[in-house]
Amino acid sequence: MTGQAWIGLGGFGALLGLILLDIPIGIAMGVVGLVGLALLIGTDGAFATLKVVGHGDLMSYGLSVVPLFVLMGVFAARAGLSAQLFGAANAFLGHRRGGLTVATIAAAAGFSAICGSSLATAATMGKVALPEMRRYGYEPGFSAGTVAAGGTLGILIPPSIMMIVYSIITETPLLGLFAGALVPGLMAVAFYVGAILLVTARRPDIAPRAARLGWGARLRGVRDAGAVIAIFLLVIGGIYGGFFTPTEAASVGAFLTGAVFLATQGLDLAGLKETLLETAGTTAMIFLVVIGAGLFSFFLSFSGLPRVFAGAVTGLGLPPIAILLAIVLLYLILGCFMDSLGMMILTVPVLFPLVQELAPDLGMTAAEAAIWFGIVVVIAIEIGLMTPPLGLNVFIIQGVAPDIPVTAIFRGVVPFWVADVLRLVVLILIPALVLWFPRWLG
Amino acid sequence: MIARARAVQERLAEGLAILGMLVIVALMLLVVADVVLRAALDAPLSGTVDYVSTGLGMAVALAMPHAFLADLHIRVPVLVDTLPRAPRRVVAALSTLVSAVFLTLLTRQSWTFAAERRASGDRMMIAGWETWPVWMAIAALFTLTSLALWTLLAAVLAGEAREAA
Repeated sequence: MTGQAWIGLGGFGALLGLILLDIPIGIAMGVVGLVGLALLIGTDGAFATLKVVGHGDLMSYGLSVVPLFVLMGVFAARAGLSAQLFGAANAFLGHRRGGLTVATIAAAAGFSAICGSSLATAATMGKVALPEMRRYGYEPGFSAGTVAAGGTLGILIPPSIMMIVYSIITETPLLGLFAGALVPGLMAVAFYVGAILLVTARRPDIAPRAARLGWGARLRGVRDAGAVIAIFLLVIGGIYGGFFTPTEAASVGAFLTGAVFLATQGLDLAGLKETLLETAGTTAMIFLVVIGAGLFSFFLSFSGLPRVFAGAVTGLGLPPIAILLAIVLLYLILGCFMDSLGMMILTVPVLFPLVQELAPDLGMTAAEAAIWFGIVVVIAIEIGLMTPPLGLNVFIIQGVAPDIPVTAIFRGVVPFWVADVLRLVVLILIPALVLWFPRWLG
Repeated sequence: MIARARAVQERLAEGLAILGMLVIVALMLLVVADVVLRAALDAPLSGTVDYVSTGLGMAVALAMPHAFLADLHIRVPVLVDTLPRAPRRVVAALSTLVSAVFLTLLTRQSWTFAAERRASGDRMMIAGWETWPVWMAIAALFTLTSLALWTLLAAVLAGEAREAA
């Protein structure tokens, strides 16, 4: 290992130390990147890099999707669209055994299609679906676990903020990532529903049947959910079909969800203020990370650490699948104690070059490997959102329903956690499931 | 004194963040208009990409003080949460100090960057406007963020704030 690579490794250790000292991840990455660059190329070079990297992304047309998609998600969450989706799904599925939990997953998937945040999906679905499940005597832990799992769809089904961040870090085209997420997103819904059917077949008492609703209620449900379906088809269909750039799609989506917000909530100035402040906070948070990650990536590239790491790992002579499974295991472990965005920002700059090197052995081009790895990382992070002890979605649901113990929610999440791990393994073994749609789109 | 300064800064930061997101709303309307005009009349608005890029920079800089003062940046508090109160305050002070130093260095580079844009006469690609006024505004907003962080550090050291930034 070269002296520069040792500095890179030391920088990685310092970064972990700063993060443990509760320093914001964006700042910690920026500081380590700056000091590391000063050691490698001198102080003048380091400050010159800070000047260029610190400002280069601030005026990037491509990054304008960040505040626009965030705004779209916040409007959707505050406009009560989750209730309409749940109402529609419930009208069709509620009368079946476990039907309300299946309706929750279906509604969460629909809501994820207009809201790129997992936590927002979990929180809004929790407020809507949990009271209904309680009313029909569903077991609280299983109900809450279902909502926590459904919430994780928010970071997989496009438009996903996490995928946008991955696209920024790795310079992978957003369209490819959004296209690659289509089948895994549908698989997630199918696997979750499968988990519900298995659990309720073994223990029918935890999810009794709700009242059957007539066709009138069903048609009203479809009408109410129509806005969400139309927005999703326009935004994501527009990107897939090449009618919009991602920025245009995000603008149209934010405009339409904003219109729905105004139509359902009226001119609610307090709500509008909160919407703008929430969007501002998330946007600034992501851009601080972009600036810090930019500096840190520059430092890592100069140190040559990712190259050395990739060479060392491939030099072990292990089959690529074994390496990938080890990477997934690493994410599952990190998911126990790290925030999802932090996990991605910390690991992707080092692991991405390794996966690029493995691409030919996996039968993919480098561009395809970038898309496929992005989906794998997002799903692994998604699993972290319901893994104890940190599992953020679980705590979000507990915030919505404080009387349900965290341990009960974690127990309720287990079937979905297993379903997610199975799905991840399938996607690793059969990358074509991720890649066929991006390949078809060309 | 510190508490009053912080209260003023928090109100100002909130106002700036709202202004920043109104910029985003304006950009959203501009892009929608561009899309509609392109589709309906084959007459897209000229310079939309320039305005969106520039507006984004302003919006992010306007939102930055609020994100720090409202403690919205991502952290991993697994270790700090286990500490007793006194060491936690030390860690909070250290965390705020590191953030303040980094933001101050970034601010210094922002002013240099803006001065260089002015000297070089850098202009937007299509709209043709000079970019330096926007960069100066961004540098000024970063200065405000730095000042807010130093005030927060003073508050943490004086025991008037427990949270870090």
